[in-house]
Amino acid sequence: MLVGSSIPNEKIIPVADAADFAIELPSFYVLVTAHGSLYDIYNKNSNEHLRGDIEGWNRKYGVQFLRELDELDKLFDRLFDRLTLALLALEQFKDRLEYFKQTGKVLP
Amino acid sequence: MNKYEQTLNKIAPLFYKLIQYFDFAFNNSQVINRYLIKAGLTEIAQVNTVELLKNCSYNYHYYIYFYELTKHGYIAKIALTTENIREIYEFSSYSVYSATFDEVIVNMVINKFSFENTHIMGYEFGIQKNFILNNTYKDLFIALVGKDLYEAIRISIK
Repeated sequence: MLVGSSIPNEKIIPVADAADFAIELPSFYVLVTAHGSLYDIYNKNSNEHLRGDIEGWNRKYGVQFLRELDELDKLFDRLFDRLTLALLALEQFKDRLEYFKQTGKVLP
Repeated sequence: MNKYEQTLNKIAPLFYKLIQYFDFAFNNSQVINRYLIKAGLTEIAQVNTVELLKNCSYNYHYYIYFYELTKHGYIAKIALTTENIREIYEFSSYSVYSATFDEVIVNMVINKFSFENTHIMGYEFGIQKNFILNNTYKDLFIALVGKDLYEAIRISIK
């Protein structure tokens, strides 16, 4: 089994909570919570969800899904420092806009 | 914990933070327009349609938008890729899609400001033509974030 839980022989059981957002991979949407708990995966073309026929899904898409997620993982690591700086910039953008909303002035 | 669980646990919290700023920018689009006018970027704020990132070439693509997923309603979807988003989605020159200001900030930083001297492009529906504005992406970034932080990020970026 390519996609499953950390418990041997246990199939993946998506968490009951609603997903907070979707991560888009070339072939899949991965629905997750803010903390990264998996809620659902589905193939963009066939619209087949992980929920349901899990073994069938794994046979068809498991390898491809793991490969695409691994690519994202590597890219994320490569860009982590820059993404952190981007968050800093976004926070500053938000602060400046809030200041403008309160005062009508733009910070230099 | 499986490898895919480790990956999702690592990536999701940072992506989720990025989504909060997307929501903020989306909900404050009119305020941003007024802000840009006050900051002197009048052309960007007043153009018929500003087509952010459309005429830019860069390596790393960060993309975020609301999307209607079957059974889940509207949800933010987020992509980080080396593939050109416009090629994947086949956005035409007349597509209404335009990046949001938060997307511009993220894409500029992750690409080490590689397209900062590119002039921003607008689109005029009346004549169905694109045209180039006077302001560059660097001008826009500094207006949104401030010159001090722009310079600090440029120095510290690897």
